[in-house]
Amino acid sequence: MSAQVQQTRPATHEPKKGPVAPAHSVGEFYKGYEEEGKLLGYECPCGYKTLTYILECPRCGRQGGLKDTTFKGTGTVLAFSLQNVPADEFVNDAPYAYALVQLEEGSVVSGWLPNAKRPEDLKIGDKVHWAKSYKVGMVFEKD
Amino acid sequence: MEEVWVAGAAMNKFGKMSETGREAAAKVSLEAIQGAGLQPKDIEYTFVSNCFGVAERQAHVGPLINTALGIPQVPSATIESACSSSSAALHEAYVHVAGGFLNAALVVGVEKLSHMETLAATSYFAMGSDYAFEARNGATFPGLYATLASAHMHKYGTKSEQLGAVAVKNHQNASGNPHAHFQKPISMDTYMNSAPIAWPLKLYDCCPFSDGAAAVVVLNPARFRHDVPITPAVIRASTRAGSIAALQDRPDLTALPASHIAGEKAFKQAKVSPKDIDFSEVHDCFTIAEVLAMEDLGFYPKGKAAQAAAEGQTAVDGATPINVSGGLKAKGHPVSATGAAQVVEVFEQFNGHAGKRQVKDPQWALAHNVGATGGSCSVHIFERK
Repeated sequence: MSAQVQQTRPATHEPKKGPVAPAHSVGEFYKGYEEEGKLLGYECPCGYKTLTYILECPRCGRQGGLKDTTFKGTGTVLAFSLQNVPADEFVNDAPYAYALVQLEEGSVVSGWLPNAKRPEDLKIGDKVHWAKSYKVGMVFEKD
Repeated sequence: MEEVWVAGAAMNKFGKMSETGREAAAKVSLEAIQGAGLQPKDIEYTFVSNCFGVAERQAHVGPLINTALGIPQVPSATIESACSSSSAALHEAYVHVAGGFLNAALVVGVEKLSHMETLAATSYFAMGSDYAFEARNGATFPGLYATLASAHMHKYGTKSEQLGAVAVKNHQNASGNPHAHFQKPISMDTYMNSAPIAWPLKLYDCCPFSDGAAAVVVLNPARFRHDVPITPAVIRASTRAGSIAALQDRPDLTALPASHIAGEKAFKQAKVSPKDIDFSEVHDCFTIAEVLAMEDLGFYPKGKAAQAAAEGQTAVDGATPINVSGGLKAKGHPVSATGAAQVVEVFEQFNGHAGKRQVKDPQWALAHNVGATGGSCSVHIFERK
């Protein structure tokens, strides 16, 4: 059994190409949008882009090669729901819309629209933009 | 590989428990062990699930349960996979017994949240999401499934009335289940007029916050007591899979990839197909989740499951009975007890103890249990011995 382990070790321990760690942390992501008006994400050479935290690409599995990218924060509503019963951080704004926004650059982000309070206030396909706000989380509003 | 049998299964009445989680867990464990004709000392390992134990200011509940059972020396571990915790624990038990490492294992899931306010409980549930990127941007747990519902409605024309048919059916089934949180049928009018929780989902689209406990005893067949009058459920498949954690990074919002992958693996492992399954317990934390499950597992083509429910095909006496127990929706959803409770239903059905909700002569059953919005998923397929 140990001989087998020895044989497989070199293959699994090949040095990775490209940066091992991503260029920005979750903390820097928050700092970016809360303080600097910047939406940070990661981009893989395969074209996959995301704003959530990754070290390797969940689509192509490539090791290394991720780089930082930024998003303008403009896009269209891909799907949404109204939060009639909110979690504690949002209790003063309920109801409001939680939306998945397809960003122009080709990724999707979670955001919320404090002013969308009824189903007729928003529809799938609506154009929205990131509204830099003092409120918690990523606030969007309709164009 | 050894065969793995479910030889005992027990649960308490889901709803509001006055006792603590540890008490409920110990009681259902003893009931499951004794039901199998065994004693606690026959158990070699206890796999526990208690996702929100900290809500009771209690972690590491395994040793408390084993101590209460009089077997403090027996090892235990807590398995956490959000709402699929106890099916993940069952998978661990299965792997150990199938691999010959254990001969008898106890799986027990328990949750108690009813002492918390709705606001606090909603906040706890949101922790099952990618908190930093979903919940912190406004998503509640119902909100995430409601967003999947909006995508499904947009793509396939799925209607509220069709989701309502799922709710009405599951409440009907639960009315015949003495373990269920809700034991009253509801009408379509009641459903349609219920308050919005996370539009497009209404109150009756959502499972309740339930307390509850459920336990399952799994054995190497050599340890099965043939002198007890029970029919074991043979675990023919025990599979798990995952999906990209946050909904926003998934290519398709009308399916849970983990369900599809775990389901395919399970059907392959058990060497059966959806048409061989006599009934299924699927993860219906929201009505839309049952629709997604039926499609992702291959019971219906994409976009067709909601209509099938509306046509009665998924009723107890339908062609494809789904959630005969009442499901999470009406039986209740004490997060970490749910996966084990699905197996309790399979065991009761195989033993002919399901009363009004009894499926006629079932030979094969499937249990499907999703963690959060599909970041994790378990599928188990059982054959009646």
